[in-house]
Amino acid sequence: MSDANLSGAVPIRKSSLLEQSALVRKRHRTGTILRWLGFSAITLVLMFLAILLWSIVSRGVPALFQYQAQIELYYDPAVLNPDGGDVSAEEIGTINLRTGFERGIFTSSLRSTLENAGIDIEGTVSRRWTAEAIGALDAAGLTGASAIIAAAPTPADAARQLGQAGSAVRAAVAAMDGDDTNAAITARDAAAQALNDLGFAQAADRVASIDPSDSAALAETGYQAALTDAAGALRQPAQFDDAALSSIIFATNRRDVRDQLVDNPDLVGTTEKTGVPIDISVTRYLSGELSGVGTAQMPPGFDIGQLALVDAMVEADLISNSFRWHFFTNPYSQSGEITGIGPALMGSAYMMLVVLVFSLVFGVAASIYLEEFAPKNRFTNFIEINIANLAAVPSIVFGILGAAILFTLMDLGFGSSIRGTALLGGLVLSLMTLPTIVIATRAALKAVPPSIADAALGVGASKVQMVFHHKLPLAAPGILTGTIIGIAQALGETAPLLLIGLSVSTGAALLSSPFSGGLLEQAQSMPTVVYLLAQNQDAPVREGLAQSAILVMLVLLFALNILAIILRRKFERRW
Amino acid sequence: MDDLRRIERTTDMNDTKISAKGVQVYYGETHAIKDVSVEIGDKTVTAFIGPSGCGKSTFLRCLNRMNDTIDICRVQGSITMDDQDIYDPRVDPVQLRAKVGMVFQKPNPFPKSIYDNVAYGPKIHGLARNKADMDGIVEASLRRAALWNEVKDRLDSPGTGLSGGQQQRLCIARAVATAPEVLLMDEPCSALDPIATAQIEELIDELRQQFSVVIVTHSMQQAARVSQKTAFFHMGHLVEFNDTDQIFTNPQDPRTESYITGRIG
Repeated sequence: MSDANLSGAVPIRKSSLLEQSALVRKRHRTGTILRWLGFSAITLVLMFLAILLWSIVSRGVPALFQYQAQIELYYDPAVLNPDGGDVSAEEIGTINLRTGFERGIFTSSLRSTLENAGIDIEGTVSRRWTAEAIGALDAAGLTGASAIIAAAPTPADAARQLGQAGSAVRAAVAAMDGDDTNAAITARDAAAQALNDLGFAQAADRVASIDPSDSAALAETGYQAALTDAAGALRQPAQFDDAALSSIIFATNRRDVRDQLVDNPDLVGTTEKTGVPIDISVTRYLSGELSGVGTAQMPPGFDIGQLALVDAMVEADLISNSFRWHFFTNPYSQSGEITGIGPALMGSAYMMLVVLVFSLVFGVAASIYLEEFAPKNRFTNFIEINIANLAAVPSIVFGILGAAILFTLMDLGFGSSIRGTALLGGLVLSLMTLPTIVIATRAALKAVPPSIADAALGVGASKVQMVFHHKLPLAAPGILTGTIIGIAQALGETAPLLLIGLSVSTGAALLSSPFSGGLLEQAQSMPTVVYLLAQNQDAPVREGLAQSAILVMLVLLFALNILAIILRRKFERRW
Repeated sequence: MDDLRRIERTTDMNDTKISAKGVQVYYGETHAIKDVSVEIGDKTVTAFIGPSGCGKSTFLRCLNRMNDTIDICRVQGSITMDDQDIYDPRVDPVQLRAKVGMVFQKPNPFPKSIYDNVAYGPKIHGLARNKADMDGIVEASLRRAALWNEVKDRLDSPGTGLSGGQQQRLCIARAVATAPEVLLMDEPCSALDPIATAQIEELIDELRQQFSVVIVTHSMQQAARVSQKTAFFHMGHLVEFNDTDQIFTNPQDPRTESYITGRIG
């Protein structure tokens, strides 16, 4: 019977249970190492996730708030209706956006609003520049500059005097560099004289005492640079014009305001207190991100005179910080002040709908056929392998396929109507999602215990009844998970959409917003808008609003996952 | 076994319900059933016994064409029920399975309510005209499966929440709900404890009043307890088919004798 007593079997060794053998110790060591590796991998992943989320939230959430200047916008009839008489919508539609709206409406409204608030625009600007000039001179040891500037008839005169002194110092440095000692002495004394004439007696003495051959010592005093900078600063206020004023607020290309007036010409002649977005570069100064001191800390395209005005507006309570609601309704625009994700949200929603309908219906139908009804032969094997392969195809390939279909349709004469529509985008994404859903559905169908199929067939259910009454309901949670994963994947897909015209680079190219239309309207999609926002020329858009849009996508994905979990719970049955 | 039952047995065993002649079953290249001929009587319990892999379950599954669901399976020979060939191309296996119910080795209730489990068969076969009809069928089936008293207050609770023995009786109720003429049971007690087994065996004996029952079992005691006819399968052959008494007291074939005395299997 049994061979228990067969000689030559493994000899029985005596060993104590209380001490671990070498082999057991080795096994424990391996286990410990693996456990720690797993633990550190998870920790690392969580850390990166936390960093990612933090970087998105910390940039994206503040960007959802916008600084707005509260301006009494006066729709000046002199600008909008220069001929007098009845206001005509057509006429307003032809008014130049730059001269008419930016200058005539926005700049003059801003000017009058500031004046009404008691802000002396030119005074504020020139005070700031004067302070800058005095600061530059003080830093170089040229004290008492304020009296000199005050004594001059105009800031421009002071600038000229300081500039001349600076030139004298520069000439002295150049002369002292040369071989001619006499010329050097003359130039040095001239510089000292110029400083003395201005009233910088101490500095004049210091210059006069410098060895005529030591040009470096004179350069080291920094007088020349300070004098030139101060002269430059004092010249600035004279250059402060309407353009400098209006660039503080978002006033360029306000096609939206013109359209509003065309729709409602009655507004002409009225005054409306409204929030006009502050220029997006200035928002970083307002939020404290940029200090406004020095070139690197200055919002690009701005100077301290404008910032002084901004400070005055903050002081006069003319700037408010409010939630950027229009971000969720406006179409994408290059201008960060009015850009939005409205059509993109709608476009993505439409596309997800198309994906859901197409890939779920076709995916589940294909899976049921392959899993339950198809004969097992080379052909179905080939199809199965290719479906698995399809899941690994780079998404841009699907984009190329979509583009190919688009070009074919264009050749046939109806391409332009389908280009960039949610329908086309959704179809391309459906192709991409299909393999995911097929694989998930087949796995879910396979996981249904065969005893259930036996039971159904045993009571006389047909194969179709067996599948639809028993297998499919039991596979539903798995199918659902696969579908949600597929949809989430499709929601985040950018590459294929770029190829079929869903990335419109200007707001104007969007023919109409999907709010009003349907599947056959020009659409934008969330990932392409994120892509465009991340490429914007303004840093606050690249580093703020792009993150806000990503945040919205993350919230959507999170909602989708929650939905998946809820549906799973609802459908899940145990057997 | 008392004399009364023995008499009852002989009087009932008259009509042939299912008749199999020269049945061959192939799984791909494997010859699983070799030339089996057997007559299964009406209102009789017929037991199929034999060692594992001898083909008794395969043969049982031929009787309601459950083997059709296996792609590589081929059945030759003739199986008739009430003189109609069940493998005739005109026969719809769905209709056949309504007449030949089946109970499986492992209790496999649908993950639905007890009521829905029993009502599913009648529903797809259109046996009930209205809700009241259906309630009647469900109650009668559950009563027939000796489960009614235990579950009548919780018909809406899931069938999978019952104990193993109750689940198996629920499966029997589900099978009898379609008003079958034959009931096939594939080792119905092998996953159950002795008490549940005893309940099922008692039930089988009662079911014999209405149905022709074919039971596959590993347990020779069970075959002796519940069946009137016994067929012994060995390596795909039907070795011996006779009255249960005869098989267990006076086996004709030496292989049968070896098996029932425990020398092979």
